[in-house]
Amino acid sequence: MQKVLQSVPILIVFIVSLGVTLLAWQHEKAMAKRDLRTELDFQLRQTSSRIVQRMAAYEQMLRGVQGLVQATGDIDRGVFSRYVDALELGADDTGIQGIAIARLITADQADRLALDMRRSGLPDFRIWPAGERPTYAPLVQVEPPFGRNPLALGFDPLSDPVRRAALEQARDSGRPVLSGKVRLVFDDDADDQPGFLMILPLYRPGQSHDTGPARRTALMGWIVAIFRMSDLIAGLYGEGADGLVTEIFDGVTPNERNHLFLGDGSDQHLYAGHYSADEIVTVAGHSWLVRLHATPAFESHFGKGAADLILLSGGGIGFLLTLVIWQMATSRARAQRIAEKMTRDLKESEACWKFALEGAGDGVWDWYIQTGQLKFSDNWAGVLTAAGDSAMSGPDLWVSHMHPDDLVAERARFEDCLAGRTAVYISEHRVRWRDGSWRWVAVRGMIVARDAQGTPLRMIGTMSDVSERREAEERIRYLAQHDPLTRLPNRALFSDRLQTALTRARRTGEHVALMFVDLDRFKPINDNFGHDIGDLLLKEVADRMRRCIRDSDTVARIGGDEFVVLLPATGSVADALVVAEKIRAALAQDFHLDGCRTSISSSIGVALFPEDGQDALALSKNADDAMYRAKQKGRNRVQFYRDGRDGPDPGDAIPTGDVPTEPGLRN
Amino acid sequence: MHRGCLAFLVAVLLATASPGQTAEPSACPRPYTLALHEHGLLYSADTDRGIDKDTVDQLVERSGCKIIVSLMPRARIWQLIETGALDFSLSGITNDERDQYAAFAWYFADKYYLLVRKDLKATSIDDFQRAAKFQLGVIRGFRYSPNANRLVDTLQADQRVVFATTLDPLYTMLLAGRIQGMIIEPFDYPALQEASIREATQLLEFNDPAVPHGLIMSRKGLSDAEQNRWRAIIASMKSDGTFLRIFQTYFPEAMANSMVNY
Repeated sequence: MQKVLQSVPILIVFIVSLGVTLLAWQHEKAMAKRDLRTELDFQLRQTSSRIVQRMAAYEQMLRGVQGLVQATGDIDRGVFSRYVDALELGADDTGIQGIAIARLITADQADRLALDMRRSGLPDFRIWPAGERPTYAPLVQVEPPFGRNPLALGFDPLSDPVRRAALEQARDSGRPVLSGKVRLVFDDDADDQPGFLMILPLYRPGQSHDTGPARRTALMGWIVAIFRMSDLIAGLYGEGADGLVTEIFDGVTPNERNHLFLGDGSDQHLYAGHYSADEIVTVAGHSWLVRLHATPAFESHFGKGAADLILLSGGGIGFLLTLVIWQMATSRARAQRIAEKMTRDLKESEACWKFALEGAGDGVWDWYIQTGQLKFSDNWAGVLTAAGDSAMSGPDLWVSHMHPDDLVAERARFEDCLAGRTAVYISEHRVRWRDGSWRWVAVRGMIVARDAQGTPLRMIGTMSDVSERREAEERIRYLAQHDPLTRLPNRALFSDRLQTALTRARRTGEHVALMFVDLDRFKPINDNFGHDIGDLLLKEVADRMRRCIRDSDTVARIGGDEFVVLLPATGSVADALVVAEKIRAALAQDFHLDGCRTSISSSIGVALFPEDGQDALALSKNADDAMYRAKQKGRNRVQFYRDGRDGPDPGDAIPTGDVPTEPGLRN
Repeated sequence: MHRGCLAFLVAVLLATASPGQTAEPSACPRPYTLALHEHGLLYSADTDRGIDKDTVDQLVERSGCKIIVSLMPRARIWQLIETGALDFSLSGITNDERDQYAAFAWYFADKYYLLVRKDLKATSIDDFQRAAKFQLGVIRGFRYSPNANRLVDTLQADQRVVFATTLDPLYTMLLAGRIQGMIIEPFDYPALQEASIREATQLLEFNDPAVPHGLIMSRKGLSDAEQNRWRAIIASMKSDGTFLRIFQTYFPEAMANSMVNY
């Protein structure tokens, strides 16, 4: 439906432009047609006018001959000849073949006339065509006497109905008369071109010829001007338009019988279907139909106009206009489609990323730095928000959730990224979860928009809950540094702490006490009661030792039944002795293990820094020596590396009878 | 009626002023030229008679001037009037274009009619105009009353007009069916009396008032003073009944009267 609505204006524009073009085309064609007709009519008028003018001139010329005869009183051959000679019928009068005198005689005068003519220098003169007629009007003189004109001598025009009609009309009207179409008597078949005659009556001078009967009585002959139509038209002066062909018919009916002339000698059928115009011209009481044919050349010159150009250009412009309108009309829809596709793609992409990120427990954040707007992906927005947080802006909310210990370092790292000193902000820090717990998150971010001055505008990034990874890493580290049975630091961790304590003690001048604790007669317990009991015993030993020291002290298990105790910042030998004794005493207490009671003792060797060794190795060796000596002295005692520092004899504290010589369980 | 009264007054005034002018020797500074055209009762070359011929004779007599008369097609007459090569013609009507180069002295008015073949079954001018096949024959150079002019112009635009120099061939063409109509005036009535024409044709009337006809004077050939002198002569011919007498020679009395006293 929407597409249909969209195409309506396009269709309207197309139809309107097409309609306007067609209208303009039609109008131009009509105008061109009108111009063509106007031009054709103008040319027809000009042609007709020239014909009438030329014929009027000839008429005037014959009136001169008529006047001459009237003036001289008779038809004098010499005078007539000189007169015609004086007319100088030249190229300008090509239409007129000659001017003849037809003398009217009765039948009984014919022989006499012929005889007279032959005697006067025309030995071949005869009246023709032969035949009995009441009257004859033989041509007795044809001027100029050149070319074929002499061939016409003796011809009797009264013998031909067309000529006779014209002669009689002239006789009766006293005016010049044109004959109908005739074949000129001196033309042969090879040169048969239509001709006509202009005839003026000659009346006997002094006789009245005001009325018809009077004219017949006074008539003595005619002046006959002989015309060939093609030559007449050729001699017409005046510039005709190119591409027009003149055709002339005798009378008013255009048919083959009346055909007088066709320009260019061409075939009239060639012009069928083309423009033509007719005019009837009446010359000397006789009508001709003058027809002008427009040739294709004329029609294309006058009738074409700019119609085709209008059609082409209008069609082209209409098409382009429609195209533009189509572009305009559909650009919004197309842009919308593109935008929808982009949005869809983006949403799909976002959904994929969201799925991927959220599936992995990750979140996305987008921070508009200037406005402070910070958006989290849904799965993270919830876990961070706690009561009272709603009033906070994004960044403040985040900072408020950060672990205080991480704040300083993170702020510095963040500032580096904002300032462009680092390309990417990468951090792992702790944040308080909605449930109040601290969780480790890995945050990555980068600036994606800055203004012209480099001020950061927008930062986007991801965050992941890495608490589990961190815990796993912590557990691995713990396992690497602790004895799995007793959960006491192992040798490696203890060595680190010892080094640390020594370093610190060298700086502070404090004492460090290192104790080697070896359980006395532990092996028999393992052998007699099994390793499970042995392990339980070791765990209990570790717990008791742990209870005997400060948090800052370290007790570690470095062998099967060998333990070490580190007392950093030991104030004095006495302090060390107290702790050592406390441990010895604790270990000398009975053990209740899995329903069994047993007892062991311990031999403790103590070395002090810096007196008993300057480094860990020396100190350890000396503590070990001291422990050996304690063993040698009967076990269950504390032995300082240097004599004189040892504690009281354990026999003072422990009833002798209570100390078993062999480890055993008492139920 | 109002126009008739006004024309009468002008005619009287001019007539009273004319004798003095005609007596002046400078009234005929040169021979004038006048052309007739063959048109029914106006002039027939065959008989050398007609209203225009009689009018010329009167003009010669009253003016005392030599007037060289020739016969030529109407279109040619207007051309020569425009160029000034011809001084006068007769029975002319005007239009805006002709007013530019010709002045007139009116002396009669008549109506135009469309002569059509009876077998067309056309009962009005509109019928004739609507029939696309009908051709109209007109004389080149003729103009008519407004509705007749409109018909001619419309048909000419549709290439439905055949031009002729005189009316005679148009009658022939009408009878032969080559044209279906022609515009005539009362001068052409005698031709209609011929049996062949009378039986084959009928007259349709244009709804136009009678159109004034008059002496045509070339503005280029004749000064304003000369034009006024000839107007005065025409007016005197009207006022003294000369024109009425001339027209009565060719028309029934009532018709002659209506034409001259329009």
